[in-house]
Parts: sequence; structure tokens; C-alpha cells
Amino acid sequence: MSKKHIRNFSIIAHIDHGKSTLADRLIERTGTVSARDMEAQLLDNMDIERERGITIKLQTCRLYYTYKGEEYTLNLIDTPGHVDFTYEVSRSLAACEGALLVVDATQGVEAQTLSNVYLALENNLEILPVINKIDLASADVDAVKLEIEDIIGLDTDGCPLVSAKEGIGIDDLIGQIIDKLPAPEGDDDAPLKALIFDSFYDNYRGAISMVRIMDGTVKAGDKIKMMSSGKTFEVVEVGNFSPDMRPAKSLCAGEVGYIAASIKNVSDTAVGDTITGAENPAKEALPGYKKATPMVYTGVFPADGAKYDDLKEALLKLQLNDASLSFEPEVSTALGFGFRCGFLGLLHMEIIEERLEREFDLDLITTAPSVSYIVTKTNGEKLTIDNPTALPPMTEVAYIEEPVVKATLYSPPDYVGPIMELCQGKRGIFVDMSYIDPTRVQIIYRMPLNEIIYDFFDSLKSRTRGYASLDYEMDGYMKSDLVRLDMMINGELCDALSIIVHKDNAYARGRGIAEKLKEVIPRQLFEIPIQATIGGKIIARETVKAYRKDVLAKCYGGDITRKKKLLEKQKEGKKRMRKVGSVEVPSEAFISILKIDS
Amino acid sequence: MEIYIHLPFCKSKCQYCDFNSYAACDGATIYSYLAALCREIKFAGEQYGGARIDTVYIGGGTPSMLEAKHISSICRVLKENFDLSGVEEFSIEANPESVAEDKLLAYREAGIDRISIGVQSLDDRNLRSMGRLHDKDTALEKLALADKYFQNVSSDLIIGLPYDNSQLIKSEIDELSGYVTHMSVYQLTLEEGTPLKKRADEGRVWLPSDDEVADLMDVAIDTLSADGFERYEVSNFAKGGKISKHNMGYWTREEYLGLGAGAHSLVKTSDGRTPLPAEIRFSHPRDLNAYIGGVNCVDAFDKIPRAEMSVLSKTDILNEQIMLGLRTANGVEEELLFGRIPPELDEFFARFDGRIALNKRGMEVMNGILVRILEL
Repeated sequence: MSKKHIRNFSIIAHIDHGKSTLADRLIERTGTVSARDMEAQLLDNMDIERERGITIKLQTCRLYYTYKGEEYTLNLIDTPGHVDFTYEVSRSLAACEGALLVVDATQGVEAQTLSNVYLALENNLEILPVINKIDLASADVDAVKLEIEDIIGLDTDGCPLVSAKEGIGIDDLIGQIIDKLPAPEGDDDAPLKALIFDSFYDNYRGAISMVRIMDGTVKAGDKIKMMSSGKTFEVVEVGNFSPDMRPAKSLCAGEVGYIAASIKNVSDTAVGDTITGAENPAKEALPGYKKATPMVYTGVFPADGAKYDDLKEALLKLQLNDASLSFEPEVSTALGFGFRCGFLGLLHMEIIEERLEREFDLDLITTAPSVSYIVTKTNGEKLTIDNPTALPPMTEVAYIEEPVVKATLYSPPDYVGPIMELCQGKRGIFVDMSYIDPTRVQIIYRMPLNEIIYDFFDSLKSRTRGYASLDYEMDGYMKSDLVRLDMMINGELCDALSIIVHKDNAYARGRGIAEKLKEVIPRQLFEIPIQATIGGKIIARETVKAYRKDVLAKCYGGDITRKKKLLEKQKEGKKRMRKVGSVEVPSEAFISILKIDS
Repeated sequence: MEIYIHLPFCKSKCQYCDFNSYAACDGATIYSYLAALCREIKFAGEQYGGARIDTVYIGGGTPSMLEAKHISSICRVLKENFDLSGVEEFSIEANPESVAEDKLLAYREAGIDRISIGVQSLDDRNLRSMGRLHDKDTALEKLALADKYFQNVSSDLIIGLPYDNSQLIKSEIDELSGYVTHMSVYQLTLEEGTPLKKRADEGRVWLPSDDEVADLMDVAIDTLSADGFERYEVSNFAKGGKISKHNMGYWTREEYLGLGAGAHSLVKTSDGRTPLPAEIRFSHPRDLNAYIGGVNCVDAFDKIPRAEMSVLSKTDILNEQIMLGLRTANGVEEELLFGRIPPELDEFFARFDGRIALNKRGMEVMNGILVRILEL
């Protein structure tokens, strides 16, 4: 196949601007999937994705289209649309020459869209703006066009106007993809350089790499080498997605497809890595490889302690498909045996937890999320700590550094005040504010990640009636005056409730958590003091009063059975509780402390 | 052995009631029920007639709502089929509005020597709000009447009604103690499916909180004690040793036969169905027609349909001994609880003469304690 008949492109869009629907329409229009097999949002192949209407994992699909009498191959690389997955987005963009920027004609440009546009520009992609949802009554095509030109500086003259839902303008869009996006380059005879932009685990073929061939050719039987690790494998099969796996004889420069090489673990097919030939390797790897680093950590425990092995099995299975998920065993006095899990971000965490519960039928207790701190001890030793309980006594600590992000917020001007107040309250340092147009302000804050992982999104949405959007990127570490806040229940330390907070916020948060626990811990036979402490010093106290009344109802007419059933039901309820000392604490208490607006 | 007779008829259903009782039944239904009941008494007599009967209790429903002759007939049939010569206590339940002199005389004539009157409150607003059919004046008038014909009068009182306050509870108990030798004091419970529960869920009735009820209960206990009543069970108080022997039988796990719709029995010999001696609890269908039909189409007591039945295991029996025994001030033998009471629960118990019982605080939260010490 000649390279000039190939187009490799992604779709960039804000979460609900219709990216997946547009992808579906392209697949349908090019006849890649028969109408009979067409299921709405075909590329989102996990139940959770389809239910939430968001894309988590990348999918790719090869489309065939005849245009002006010539046969074209269009490789659509779908991308996830959430800040947690920025790195994955950047790698899939690196596999393309062009990108469609889908903008909702009723919403305009949003923060998420912009950050991905910048990613695309960094990768030298040709960007084709596409205005979607033009069929809606509230669509304002001209305003959105202007916005795209003003904010991003793209020419919107003659850009495709579509309704993915109604199938309007799809042919014009495909024509423009072929006319305006460049064909790939590359040398079929040069040493192999294939960019891994995604990988997944197949039960029969092992870890499969999804690749863009930059140079060279790869076919079954070839020996390949992963350039980051030097590990070598023998290729078993290569092929394309349309959208299910179709084996092919070979993959040449410019093509997009998959390589199966009996690789046992997805961690050996890391996103961003370069695959080359083992015998005739390329001199240098493709730029931009980064090891996925977890940003958010949380303890995950089975609600039923006997299910520890099931949880382990489930995590191992998920990890096969998701190399960015990390975990190691953790023991909590309150929650027993579980795992400390690392995630790319909060959404990633929620998705993994939901998949564990849904696909593996597990009941979980999760602890408050934490970030990774760098602790320098007085003796000069440096520790990386992602679990508050691992923090050494403050007498041994010289200083603590915490991760910081550059948070970019977009909002109508009306909400600037509340947003700034929120960011300031979360220890944000003001960096910049600019009016993009009269209706839209960009605000940039430098903020501790620690403050974002609690209730920042929810607070932001509630203070701006859902109008503000947020994007963030890592921006190094900074020294902070941090302390560990511990909770004591009936005089016993509950390790699963410990968190690391800034000293200035410790009092308010300690009081908030104590109040929340008072709400969620049911009254018991004894009075239960709940104390928030820092380094043994009590900073807040609440008391769950002992209850004084049971059902002293009539045991009527000798109906003892009913009484027994009542007690059995009560006992069953107790089994779902966690014991902290002699106090029964409901599972939801451990996560409820997150929902405190302080 | 004890006998319980269930008469599931009421003039109207009270707001809080989830007992097996039916309002506004026509005469034909009541008649066929009584016929089935007498048939059951006869069958039971054929199976257990040799047993010595210690107590009889006619409960409901509202037994006093039936005509005097109906009660007389039931008692006559009982006497014909069982040996009642050793009966130590023969109780009947009544509601104030249907108590009348002729009925009281008939009861006495039939051998009944104890009457339990469902007063529930002496506040007319409380009574109206709960759908009771009497008012304070009627209650006091009927109590006086009962007191005239019976040595042994009991009254029920509910704590936690909408207009309750400590003043009211105190005066209610003080007034009642002029007429009765026994009081049952219950805390109002919101049972699923009752009109009161619905009203409470919809916020259409104000009820005192659990803590307020606990405070009112304290007032009740103190007042009763001042008036000479001894708490012999979590919700039962007696003056001059006039405890309810029949109810005491439930707590000490005496054998009893429950006759009538939805009635429960505990038998410790063979029940006719199980070949080996065993302890068995069973109950009859609650529904009137199911019960009547069930009795009429069989020819022996053990063939009457059962709604529930369980052959008790050793653990069941031990659990029952503890959960029932701890309801009483007399408690249980200490060795029954050996090793079961964690030290932090000690403060809820009292020990005496090789026995162990719940103290006042323990009785308040008995369920919470039982859940911890029973193997369920």
C-alpha cells in the first residue's frame, strides 16, 4: 500500500462533545462494521465506558474509503478524554499526522480541549476543526468558529460542520480528512521503529502492543526488541483493527496495527516505548518515552477479609491490561489485609474500584487517597511516602516536599471570585489570569496535588454551577509544612483514617472528620470519644453518646421466633462493621471523611 | 403446661398495631372461628389432655369485645378437654370500652381470676391519636369496675406516645396504681406496615426521640418503684408479688400450647409429628380462613397446618434460655453465661446467689448485649 493513501488521525474533544459518537459514524459510513453489528459507541468497549459515556482506554480502528476514485486507508486512533490520561493521549497523538478537533456547537472550547490541542501542536499534528451538534437548537456555529480562531488560532473557513448523532456532514468530513491531513512518511527499509501507543492483554496471545510503524517493516517471525528494557521477543502475529483484530502479512512504515509476540505481561509493552528489530536495531528510540507514574494512592481492602486472595487475583488481572495500575500488599489494624494501590488520578482510581466491584464481584473498603511525598529525615535520608502511616515521627523529619500541579481553570467571568476563593483555600498560588474572550476567563494556579484529590472537583462544580472546567499537569515538588492527622476512636488509633495535611488546615480538617465520624458511627453500648490528634496532641474531639433504648416490645403471645429473627438480623448487620478496638465502625466511614468541605 | 387462646378480633385496628387481629368481622366469621377454635381445643385435649395445666391466658385481639357467652363456652370446652383443677392463674385481656359488669361476672363464673386491661395512656390526645376507642374517664371507670370483681388486675401502658412527658407518665402511673396490682410498660415501637409507621415516615406525627423515651422510661420505673411495684421483667411490674405467672412461663421456657389463629406453641415431648422427644416451637396460620379451614379439614391436633415450625438444637435452647432468662430480674444461672461476657459488658450485669441478671442499664439495651453474647 502506498503511503499517500494512508491517513493516521486522532479525535480531540472535551468529554461530552461527541467524540465517540463521531467515531461510530465514521466506522458506519466507511462500512467497516455492518449496521447489524453496530452498537452505539462501538469503540468504547468497556461497560463502564459506555455507561459513563466516556472513553478510558484507547481503541483504534482502520477504515477504508474510496475518494475521487482512489482507495484510502484511514487509521482512527481514539483517545481518552480525561486529565488522568494525558500521557496516553500524548502517545497516541504521536502516532498520528493529524487530529480532528471536535467542538460542541452549543458549548464552545473547554479546558480539556485546549490542553489536548496543545499536546497535538507539540507533536506537530495538522489540526482540522470539526464543529459538532449543529442540529441542536442552541447551536451557535459562528460564535464557536470565532472562538476557535481567537483562542487556538485555527482557520475555521470551510471547516466541517457535522451532527455525529444525525449523520450530517460525514462525507464532507472524510473528504477533508483526506485532503487536509498529511500522509505519513517513513522508510520501509530502515531499521524498525514502532511506537507503542497502547497495549492490552489478550487471553490467548498475551500482551499485545498497538503500534504506529515510523520506519521499517515488521512481520510474523521477526525478532523484536523493546528499546527501554532491551527485552527481546519473537513476533507471532501482526495485523490491524477493523475494529476487531485482523491478521496481516506485515506492517510497513506509516501503518498502524498490532504486534503479538507471546509477551506475558503488559508492563513489557509500555506505552511510549519503541519497538525495534533485535538483529538490526535502530540507533535511537523515538522521543517522549515516560514511565507511567501513579499520582494518587489509596488503600483497597476487601470488605470481607476472606476475600483477600480474590482481590489480589482481580488486581493482577486488571494490571495485565493496565500497566499504569500499581499495587503492593498493605496491612491495616482496622481493615486487615489489603493493597496499597497507585493510580494516574482520581478518575482512574474510581474506574479501577468500580471494575473490581463490578467485574470481579468484590465488596471493597477504600481509604482516603494520598499523594506521594518526599520526606527528608534529619539524618539526610530521603524517603518517598504514599501512605500516611509510613511517615516517620516528626522529630526525625527535617522537611517534607509535596507534589504540585499547574491547574488551569476556565470559567465564565461571574465565577472568578468563588474560584479564586476556592483555590486560595486549597493553598493555591495565583499564577495568571486572562480573558480569552468577554465570556471566558483562564485562571492558572499552582496548587498542591494533595488539595485537589479530596473534594476539589466537587467544590469547583458546585461553586460555579458546573460551568468551570479544570485541567492540571504536574509541576514538580515544593517544601510544605505538613503533618499527619490521626484519628483515635475510643482511644485507639485507627490507621486507616490517617491523612497528611498542611498544618494550617489540620485543625479544620480534624474537626470536620471528627464531626463526620460522629455522624456515621452508630451509637453503641458505650460512649465513644472520637479524637483528632497531631503527634499525640488532641486538636478536636467529638463524642458518640451511648444509646439507651432498644426495642422493649412485647414478646407477644409467646412468639419467640420473631425476637430471635430480630437478633439475627442485628447480628448480620454487625458483621458488615469493622472493629476498631471494641467499637464497630461502618465501612463507609473510611471513605466518608473525603466528603468534608473544609 | 400453659394454654394460650387467641381471639383475633377488634372493633378497629389501633395505629401502632401489627398483631394478628382483624377489625370489623361479621358475626358469621366470628362464629366459624369460635367453632374451629373449640374443635382445636378438643383435638389438643386428645393429645395433651393428660398434662397438668398451670395457667390459661385468653388474649387477642380484644377478647372482651366478644359476648360473655362466647367466653363462657370457650372456658367450658377447655374444662371438658383439659384438667384445669391445678390452674394457678386464668387471665383474660380486655379493652376499657368493651368491659361491662355482665361480662366480668361471666368471666369470674367461668373460672377467670385475672384481667389485663389495655389502658395504654390516660391522656385523651394520646388515645385519640393512636386510634384507641376509649378515653381517660372510661378507662378509670372500667378499672374501678374490674377492681370490684377481681383481685388481680393488670394494665398496659405505652411509653413514647406523641403527648407523653415526664409529668404525664408520673401521673398516669400514680392514678393506675390505685386500681391495679400489675403493670406492663412498653415502649412504643414503629412496626413495618402500620399506619403509625407510615405517618411517622411522612412526618405527620411527632414522636419523642429514643433518648427522650429512655428518660420517660426512667420516670416510669422510678414512679412504679415509689408506688410499690417491683420490676420483675424488662417491661413488667408487680405489686405484692402478683406477677403474671403465665408470662413468666414464657421467660422460663415452660411448655405451652397456643390455640387459635397465628398462636405459638412450645412443646418439649413429642408433638406427634417428630418421633423422638424434642423441643419444638410451632405456630398456626395467621390468616383466619387458613386457620379455620386448616382445623376443619383435619381430625387431630398434630395435623393442623403450621405456619412455622422449628425443632430446637442445643444451641437454640441455650440461646433461648439466655435471651428469655435475661428479660427477668431473676436472670439466669451464672454458669449459663460462663465465658460469654466480655469485661467491657460487666457494667450491665448484676450477680447474686450464683445467678446473673441485667441491671437497669443493661435492660435498656438488652438487644445490643444479646447480639454480643449469643451465638447466632
